[in-house]
Amino acid sequence: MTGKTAFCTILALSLSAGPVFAVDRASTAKIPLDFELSDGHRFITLSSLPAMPTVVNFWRADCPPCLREMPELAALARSGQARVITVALQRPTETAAAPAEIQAVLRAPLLVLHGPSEPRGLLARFGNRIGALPHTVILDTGRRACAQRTGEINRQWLAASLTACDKS
Amino acid sequence: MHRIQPKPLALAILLAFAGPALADKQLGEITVNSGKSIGAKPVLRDEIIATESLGARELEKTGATMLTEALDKRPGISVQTECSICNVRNVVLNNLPGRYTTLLIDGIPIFSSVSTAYGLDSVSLGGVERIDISRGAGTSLIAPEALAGSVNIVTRRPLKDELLINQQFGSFGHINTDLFGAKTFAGGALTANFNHNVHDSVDADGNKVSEYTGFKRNLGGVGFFVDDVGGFTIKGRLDIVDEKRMGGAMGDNYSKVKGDETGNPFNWSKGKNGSPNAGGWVALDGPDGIAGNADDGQIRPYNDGLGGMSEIIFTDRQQFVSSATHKLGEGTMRFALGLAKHKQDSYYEHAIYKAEQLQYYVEASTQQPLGATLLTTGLTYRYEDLDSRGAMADGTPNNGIDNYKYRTPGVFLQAYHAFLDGLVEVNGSVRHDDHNVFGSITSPRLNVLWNHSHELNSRFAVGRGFRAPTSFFEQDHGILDTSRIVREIKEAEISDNASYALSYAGDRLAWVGSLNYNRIRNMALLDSGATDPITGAAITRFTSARKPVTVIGADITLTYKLTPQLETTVAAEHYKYRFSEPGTLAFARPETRAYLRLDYESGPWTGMARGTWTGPMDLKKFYDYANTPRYNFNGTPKLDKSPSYWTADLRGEYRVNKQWGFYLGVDNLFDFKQSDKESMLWVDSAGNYDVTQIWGPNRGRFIYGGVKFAL
Repeated sequence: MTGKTAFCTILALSLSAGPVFAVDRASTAKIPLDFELSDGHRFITLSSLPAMPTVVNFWRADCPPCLREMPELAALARSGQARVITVALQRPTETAAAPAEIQAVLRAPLLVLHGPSEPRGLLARFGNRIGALPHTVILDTGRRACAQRTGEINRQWLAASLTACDKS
Repeated sequence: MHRIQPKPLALAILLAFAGPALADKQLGEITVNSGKSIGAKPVLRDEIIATESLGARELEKTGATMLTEALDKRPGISVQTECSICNVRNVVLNNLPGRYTTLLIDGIPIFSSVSTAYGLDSVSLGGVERIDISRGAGTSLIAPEALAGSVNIVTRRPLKDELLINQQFGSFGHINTDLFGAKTFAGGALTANFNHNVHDSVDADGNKVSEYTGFKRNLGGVGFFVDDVGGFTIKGRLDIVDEKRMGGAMGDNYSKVKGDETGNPFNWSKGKNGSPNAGGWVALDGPDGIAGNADDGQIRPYNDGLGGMSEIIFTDRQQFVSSATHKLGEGTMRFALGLAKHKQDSYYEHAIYKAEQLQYYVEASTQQPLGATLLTTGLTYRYEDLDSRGAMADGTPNNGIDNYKYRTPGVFLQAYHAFLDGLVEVNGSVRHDDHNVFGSITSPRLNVLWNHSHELNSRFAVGRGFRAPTSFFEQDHGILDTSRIVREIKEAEISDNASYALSYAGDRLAWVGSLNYNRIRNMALLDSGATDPITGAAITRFTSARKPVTVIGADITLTYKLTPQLETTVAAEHYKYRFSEPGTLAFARPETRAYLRLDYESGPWTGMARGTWTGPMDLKKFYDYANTPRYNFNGTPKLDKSPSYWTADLRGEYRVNKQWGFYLGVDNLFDFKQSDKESMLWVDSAGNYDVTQIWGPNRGRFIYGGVKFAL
């Protein structure tokens, strides 16, 4: 097979093969998820935290929808319905550029963590291979993903997803 | 309030439409996060497939004030200085010649030949969101001439009003001022940036000939972003460059240097292996250049004044790039435009060279889903016109010695498809160009990404690139003292490239290892030693290598977060060079480099420590001692191999509050300079000198500090 023939064959195969873009479906699989991320002082592993429903939100300070949904996440954390973990995919000094009203809600009971400088693996593990933000995943008490969404969330989605997770 | 709920397919399409210029930007309700820091960025949908990406924060941490500083000292990426007195700098990817690296602004190629020579130092970092580096000929669909790869500067679209001021001072009279302002409005933003950068020439060995070229540079630009005008999303920027540089003679009195054409203002006895006579240097075969007679070993006196050893280059450039995207059916269409006018007014050791270069780039493309495959197809048109005037050192005019006019319409088709629920992604493309001089050229490429797990993936790429040699400036800017250039190039330079990268991205540990193979045929060559058979005048032949050049490399980069505040990076690269014809790989490069880096960040403190080890270089082979032995000014032979050496850089920053920050840094902490071991100047056996014995740093310890203000 010549180089040109091989190239054309591969191109033809790629055109004719079955569907699917490289996007994760809502299938972070039913395995317990974990991470080891920094809160600025120490590394936190998800598996070491007490078992309870957990919302993990991936965001950046230069992502407007990420900022818009942050107060809802903070309110949820304060309600005690679920643990809420925010994972900033940028360095702490960049996160500090977020508006003052966002900085004000980035405090306990929210657990504020920073992701790795190469977040591809972390995001893919949490069902977001393409790396779009904001991205939110709800974990049950066994740290298994039971709901996730890429794009801005709201109070209704959080409530409905937590209820659904609770039932499952 | 209705919010979108992107489905996977729609999201993929959305991302695909983003294209290289829009990644990492707000896209409706979604922000795409580009992979930063180390390793592969495995996004195969784009027209430009980045293998490395440097975010704005990373650029800031290095203390870089210009593009060439930002890219240096990274595995597989380096900046090579090719002239000790004018400091032409090239961005070198995979250790291939710098002319094979194509620079793009927001995905638009608008640099070539003359503008690449001195233009890369004049690319503003103001308002840059990130720099995507694509190593390998198979990585850039829209830049087939990028035989080594491409560097794409992505402009940041501001989301709020901004004012950023950075004032820096440093050793050697260095002053750098950066101003950036942004004004946002409903549906768009305007930006403006200005950079003023000056640096004195540096002479470390005391012979009054600089190793580091002094410069005065002013850059200005405006940018615009319109989110929706008639359904189009438009962005664009206009940049203006005004730079003056002079090397050789010290100082910045350009007219005085140009007018000083006799006598010896230099001291040739200074520096390592300096001449026994301050007024000239040893010519082993004597000033007559003939070995075996009475004048062998005599001093060849220097009598050409300041001008005879100086190079002065004034650059005046305007460039405009813009792109517009619009929804089309299920997909989108994109238009891109680039215009550049580049003027160089230069003086090379009594010779004059003035060039005007005009470049256009036009692109119309569309991305459409076809079933489950994402197709990208488009048309491009590139136009380049170089018009030069000049005179040899004796005043003989040689106008138009390197004039050329290239017109290259092209068409490309790319298909992207993911298999096995996204575990395997394939991107195949082919483009066809019809060059007005070199004819029809087809260049295919194929990229495959295999996600072994969420953290581990493999990427395999093969591709072909072609390049039409332009001006002699690509090889040797200094060959101007010639009556004419005889173009004997019949075929374009062709590269075949294959690469494989295995990368892992964990929470604390990330690493990437890559192998790459590059084979280049018809490499353009200059032969400046020819003579006109009729007149006997010196002429230069511009021809092609008969044998291919092969460069094979491997590199590995490992990053580990030692503590929440401290991250370390260890990297190494090793290259093998196979070439037999002198002039193909004309500048020395090492087989091995190693990198160590520590990044610290805690509260208001940020720190960076970086060590770079450069292995020995086979100077004897790269500089073709067999045919052209090189000597020091005292007649001793030049080093066969350069010594290995370390350079260390430190930088610390303290942010007082959101508005104010202060920083202090040291580059080349241990003050290692090539001139301590060997001069960058050399002479042949007849005593003719040149400025290209380069293998090490041309500037010693550089201390800088500054203040930043943000509003």
